[in-house]
Amino acid sequence: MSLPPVTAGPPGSGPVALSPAPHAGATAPRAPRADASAPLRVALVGNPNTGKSTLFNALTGLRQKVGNFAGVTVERHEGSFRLADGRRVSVLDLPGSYSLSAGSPDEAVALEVLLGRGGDARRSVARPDVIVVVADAQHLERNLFLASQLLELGVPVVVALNQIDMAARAGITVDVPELVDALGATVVPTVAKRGQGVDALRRAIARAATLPPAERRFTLPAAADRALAPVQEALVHAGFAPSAARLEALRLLGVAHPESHLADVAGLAALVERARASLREGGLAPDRLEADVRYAWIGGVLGRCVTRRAPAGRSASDRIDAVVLHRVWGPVIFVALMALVFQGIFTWATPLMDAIEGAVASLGAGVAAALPDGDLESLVVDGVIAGVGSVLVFLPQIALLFLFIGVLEDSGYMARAAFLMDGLMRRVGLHGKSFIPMLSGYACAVPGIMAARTVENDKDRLATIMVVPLMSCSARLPIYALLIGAFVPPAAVLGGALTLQGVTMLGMYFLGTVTALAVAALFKRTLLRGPVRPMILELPAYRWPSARNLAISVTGRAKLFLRRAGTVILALSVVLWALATFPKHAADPTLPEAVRQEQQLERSFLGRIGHAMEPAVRPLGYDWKIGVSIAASFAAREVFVSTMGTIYGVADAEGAGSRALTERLRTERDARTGALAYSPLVAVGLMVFYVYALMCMSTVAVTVREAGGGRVGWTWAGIQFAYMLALAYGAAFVVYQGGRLLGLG
Amino acid sequence: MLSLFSRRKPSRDHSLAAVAPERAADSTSAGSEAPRTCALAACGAGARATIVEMRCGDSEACRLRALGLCEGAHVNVVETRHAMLLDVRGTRLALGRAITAGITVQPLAS
Repeated sequence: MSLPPVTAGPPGSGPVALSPAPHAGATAPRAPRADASAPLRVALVGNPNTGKSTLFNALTGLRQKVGNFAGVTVERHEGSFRLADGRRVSVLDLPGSYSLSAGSPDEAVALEVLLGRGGDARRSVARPDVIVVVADAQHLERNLFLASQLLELGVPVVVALNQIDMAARAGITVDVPELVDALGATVVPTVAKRGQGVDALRRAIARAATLPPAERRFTLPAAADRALAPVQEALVHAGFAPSAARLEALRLLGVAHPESHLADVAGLAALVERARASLREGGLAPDRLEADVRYAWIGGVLGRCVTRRAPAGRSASDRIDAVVLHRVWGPVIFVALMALVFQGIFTWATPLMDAIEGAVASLGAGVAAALPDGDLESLVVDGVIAGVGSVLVFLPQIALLFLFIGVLEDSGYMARAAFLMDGLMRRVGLHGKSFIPMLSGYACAVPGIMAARTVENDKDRLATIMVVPLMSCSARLPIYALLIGAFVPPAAVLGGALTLQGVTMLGMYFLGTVTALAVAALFKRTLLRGPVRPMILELPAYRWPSARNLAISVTGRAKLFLRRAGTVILALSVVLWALATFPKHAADPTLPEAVRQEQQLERSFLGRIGHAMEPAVRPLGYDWKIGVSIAASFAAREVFVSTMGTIYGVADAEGAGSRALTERLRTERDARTGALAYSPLVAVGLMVFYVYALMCMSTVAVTVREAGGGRVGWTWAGIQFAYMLALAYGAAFVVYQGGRLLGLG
Repeated sequence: MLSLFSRRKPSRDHSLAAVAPERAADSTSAGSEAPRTCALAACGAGARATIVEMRCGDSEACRLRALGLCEGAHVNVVETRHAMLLDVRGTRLALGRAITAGITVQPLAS
């Protein structure tokens, strides 16, 4: 283990944590907390792209919990480790922030935790005992801005000077003892990716808990001190520590509206406004005062601690960007990469999905053999195992998608993709980052909606979630394939380059995509109206993604998906099973199994729903059997095909190419009119219906969760379901009735 | 201004731009005694400049300052297209036109 020379400690001593000598007048070292057995609470804070998550993984290993902060959709990562003396340290990985001013929900959460003040009663937050700031040694000037704010919180601070190896390669040398002296905080050089300095960091955390808290290291001009005094007083009166009050008073000068954690400070907005006025009188610009004083101080610190060799030519990142962001090659590479991701999710997951499907089927068969015939067997096999199995099948796609997203994100490409797509997405009112979730939707809406987390703005994220299911997912494919195979002739078009079947398929994908963009634009102009946020994007230096990070993040996502969506799916599966099973129909036992199944289905609650729906689906050209299939597929659209198989008594209708079922559909006659039940027009209308209809309970469950959970989540999921159903019905109606008017029926 | 910030103060008094924004918008008037300023959006690839004034939404300004883009900071324009790519304090940023049009800079001789 060797770290680049950072002039820390005697040569050859390895990574060293240097702590500041208590300065004169500082408060005496803190007495250990009364309850020594309670875990030490550590908050990990830092700018995005500093390797903070890698350091968190290195510190805590697999002892992690992923959840949400109460009441917000901000992910909460918590882990723990044990000190040499057996004491437990719990580490909270706060969302990446550039500053303590809450510009996004992520940053608001970070601020609330650090101040120990929840924005509302539901969020009780315990203040950390130690703050670990992860600072990128290469970009110390910007990273020290956040660090300088954290130093004023009145909590002991440890600075993890991360990616010190990359800094050394870029010709940057940091004098650690000088930095310790300048910051008044412990500094530990680390290379989180290789685990270097992590032990030293653990020891430094334990020791820092007994050190006096860090303090502000610069002084404000006297006029500013005077102007801010009333604001500070009000904050101290409201329970802020004096040091945190000084930080907040200065910070509030540049903040348009005090954040929610300050809601209970009486008259704060007016006090801040008065402070601004008095600063202006004194010739100071209030909105830039904080940036001025902090960067001025940082400039001094860097002058003391950092030496920089002139860089030799362009950096590797610049050379990669010259190609990746090239006006011509950039978009080409982007499209190629996205095609690879799409294809990967689409095809590479197939063997695994087949394996899971096979395993679920054999488990079902095994259980069916073990249990006596009857309702219990049916509930366990057809309800629970088949229902939960239908969710498990999505797992490989979700894992693969998040693996791809992880690689794109960790390598630094994701920010470039957002930059490239920003022009197009801006036209519909979304941010460039919304593109990835929408693209993922081609594979499956569930991971697509989960991927919308990368969109920071709340309204943009919701608008993205609302339209992702319009992208034709892989579950629609069996339906398209069945209906196209049955009713669209394989005639050559474009001089034989394509067939009419292929063009129809492409048309369905195109229809979904165009509609998704249009609906997003509509949402952004109505329910989710908000300014198109101008692009402010950091393009981080390219890095090799860490396999360990990817593994931890993929397994975390997979667990989250299984736990949350799985519970809802389980409940809905049982409900759907009951609807299809009851009331029991005593069928003639001499009839073939398929006929008995058809009769049971027709007389079940689900069958009655189908019949009741018939007047509603008539205008679309459907009979009750299609109605039942649609009703049955409300939970999962691919069920449409297997239900059609059951209804038409075709054994083994699984698989889109089932020739028996296509043949049967072509010759099926309407029970009432005697005319052919299906025409190409009905088939196209039905496909259009499935392009738009949200018939997937996994998607509903994940929308509930990602749109905020609870009543808010259910409301958005309801809106999503309703608008898509209305769109589906309307479009199918227009296709069928319009086609008949044109004489196509 | 504050003597405390002398390190960050450009050599010429840029407070002029704050009181005369009309002049700031006019980059062509080559008054030799007044510092020439223009919108950041008007700078081409390869230009170097010092930020003089930022006029954008409060939350955007707040975010930009945390990213290191604030009055007195030096920027290198790397590329311009639907958005601008620039280097600030060693960080590569992509900024939309809505942002760069509201930032007044004083171009530096390259």
